[in-house]
Amino acid sequence: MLDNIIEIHGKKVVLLEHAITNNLLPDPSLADVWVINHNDPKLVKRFLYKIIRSEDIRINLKPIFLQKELKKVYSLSSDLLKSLSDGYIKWLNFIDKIPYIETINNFIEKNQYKYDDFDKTSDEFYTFKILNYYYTRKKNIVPNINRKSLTGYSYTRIEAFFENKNDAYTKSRMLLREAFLGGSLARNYVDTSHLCKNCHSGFLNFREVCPKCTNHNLKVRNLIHHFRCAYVGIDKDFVLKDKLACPKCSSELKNLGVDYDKPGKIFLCKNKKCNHEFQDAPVGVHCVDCKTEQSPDELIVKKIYAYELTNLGYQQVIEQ
Amino acid sequence: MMELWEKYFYLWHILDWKDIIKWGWYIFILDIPRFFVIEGITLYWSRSERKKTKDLWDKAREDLFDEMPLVTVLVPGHNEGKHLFKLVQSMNRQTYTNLELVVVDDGSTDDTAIIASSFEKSGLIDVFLSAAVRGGKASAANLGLRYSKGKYVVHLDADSSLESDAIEKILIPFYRYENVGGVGGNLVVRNGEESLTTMMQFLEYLQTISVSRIVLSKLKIYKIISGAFGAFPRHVLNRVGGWDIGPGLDGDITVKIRKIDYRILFEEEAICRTHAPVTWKALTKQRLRWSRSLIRFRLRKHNDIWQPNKNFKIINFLSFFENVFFSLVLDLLWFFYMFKILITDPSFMLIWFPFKYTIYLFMTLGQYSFVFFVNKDKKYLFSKIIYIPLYPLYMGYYMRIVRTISYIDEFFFYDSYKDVWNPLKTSKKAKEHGM
Repeated sequence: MLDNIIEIHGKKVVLLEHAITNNLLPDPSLADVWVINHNDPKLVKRFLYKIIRSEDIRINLKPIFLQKELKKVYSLSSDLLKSLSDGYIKWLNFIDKIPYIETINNFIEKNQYKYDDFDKTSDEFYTFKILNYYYTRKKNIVPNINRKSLTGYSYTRIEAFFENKNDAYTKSRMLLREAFLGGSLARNYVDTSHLCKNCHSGFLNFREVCPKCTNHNLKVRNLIHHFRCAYVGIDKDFVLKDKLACPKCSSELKNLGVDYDKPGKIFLCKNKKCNHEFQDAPVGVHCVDCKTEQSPDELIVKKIYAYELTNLGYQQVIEQ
Repeated sequence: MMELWEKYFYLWHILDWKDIIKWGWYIFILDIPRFFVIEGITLYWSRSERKKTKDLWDKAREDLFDEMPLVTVLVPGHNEGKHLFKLVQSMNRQTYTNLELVVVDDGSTDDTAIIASSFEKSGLIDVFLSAAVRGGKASAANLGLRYSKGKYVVHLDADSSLESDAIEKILIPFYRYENVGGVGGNLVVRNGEESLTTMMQFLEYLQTISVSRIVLSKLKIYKIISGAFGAFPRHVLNRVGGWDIGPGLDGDITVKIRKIDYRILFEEEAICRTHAPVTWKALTKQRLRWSRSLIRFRLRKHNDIWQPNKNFKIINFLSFFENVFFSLVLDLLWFFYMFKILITDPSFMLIWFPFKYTIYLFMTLGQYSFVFFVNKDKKYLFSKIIYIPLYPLYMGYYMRIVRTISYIDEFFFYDSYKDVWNPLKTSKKAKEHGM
């Protein structure tokens, strides 16, 4: 069953519903603009991935819009879907997007045969797809903060080329880096992130650990210094019913700062075999994804950049 | 020059012994008997008995190494980071090896915490504890005591360096005698060559520590284990509740241990090389601080030692009496006669001063000869004899004046409670409670 094609503002628009349900790509020549008309964000995402991974320039560069009316239904996925498409339109009104659509479609028409020369699995082909897309969209390649991505930042549309999560991370970065080194892209610093040494995950749990047994079930206690008799111990030493009484001189500790102060902390390791007491607790890092334990200085430090096409990049797209 | 010598010899001919006895009786019936005769005899007694009982000492050493208990070396300090590397090295050279090095940083404002925690990470220091807010040396020592594990605790200043067998030697008395509550180590000034000030202190330590403490220990009235180097059984420290607020906390804790009936011993063979103040100004400041504790602790805090109806023990009484009599009472007597001569017969000073100097010079030479029994570096000792003529002036005038000023300060103005050596918050409480 084919989806309806309607004409709006002199453009042929296909409202995609069955295609999404069945995950089938429609014929790109039938319409100028594709509009998602499906309310299941999972299926929409699957469909958009299929478009992005397509080796047909007429499909992977096709202007494709989401409908604002469905944004609420997409809820948490709405931003992700936006970054995989050309954004939201309201009431099928895209009159202000017409020049945008025309530029893209002209580009597709001019270049539709140029894909044939490429080895579709080569890095050059991926780079070519990236440059073409961001050229036609006149956008920069900006990393999105994304809780669901491996590292916390994602280049969503580039990572979408790859099915495997690890490939998506490593290959997308590699492609961008190569393009930067080759001069097609320029980059601007955005952020620095710390990643698991084993799986590059950014979902890490930091906590103090016992320097002897690396157990992280610790109890922290305050030190108390009783001025009068110079006794120093932990809070527990002093507690007598609901008062503080000094274990050395038996007098009561009344006022903080006058009778006593708290000059530091002591950790107690709650591992019964260890029970080590110490002040300087090293921090241990636990990777939520691959469960690797590591110390903070073992983490991989990566800088996150936003990229934009350089003049050389433009030239490469035009002369390709 | 010849004229001067002639005058000097003439002086001995015109001496009127009646006058001499009248003005300086204490020299002949107190100073010489105490500092020369009794000291010489007791030193001989101690040394010869030690030789006779050599097998018992060897046995004690064997017992120590058979048991090989964990020994805590406790080093509390404020801004002492720069000394830590040397300290660690001197620990690694020790012949006694079952050691736990515990360093406590008392709110240092320099790099101490960084240095010490890096040493802790690399295993050079076993336990590093840090108080973010300065609390005074006693609180730092108590914190270290709370978190250390050794059966014996050796208290050490960060800037002292130990002979390689010092820890072994300071532990042996615990196995040689019973009921020992603390052993004081022998202190030798290590920077004697640095200035005249330090050279005089080098000579002073030889006499007042290396020799005099053997004697006091033998007579059972030794009452101060220097903070620079001393060892205590942990259970004894726990019984007395660790250290109380200083300055003078080392003498104070020794008295607290004596009060609960433990023996305090001096071990001359456990040698610690300590850093002495280099300038007269710094030395004066140090001695003003040290001497105040005679008033603060011996006369005030531990006044029960003087009272027959309280915690009275004749040996503790004698220990305090010797200390107070020969320091405070004789000082006052000295000033009394000095002023009396100046007022009644000033011209007598011209005879009196050279005479007294001669007597004390000979006594000093005699005392210095005792040092040769104790200190093994005899060649070095010989080379320093040229400084002996200055020693009677150093001890008799400089030290006496500084000491007396300090006593008066403390007696009337409670100056030790104003000393910035302690944080004010603790001094305030100490004064309130007579600590």
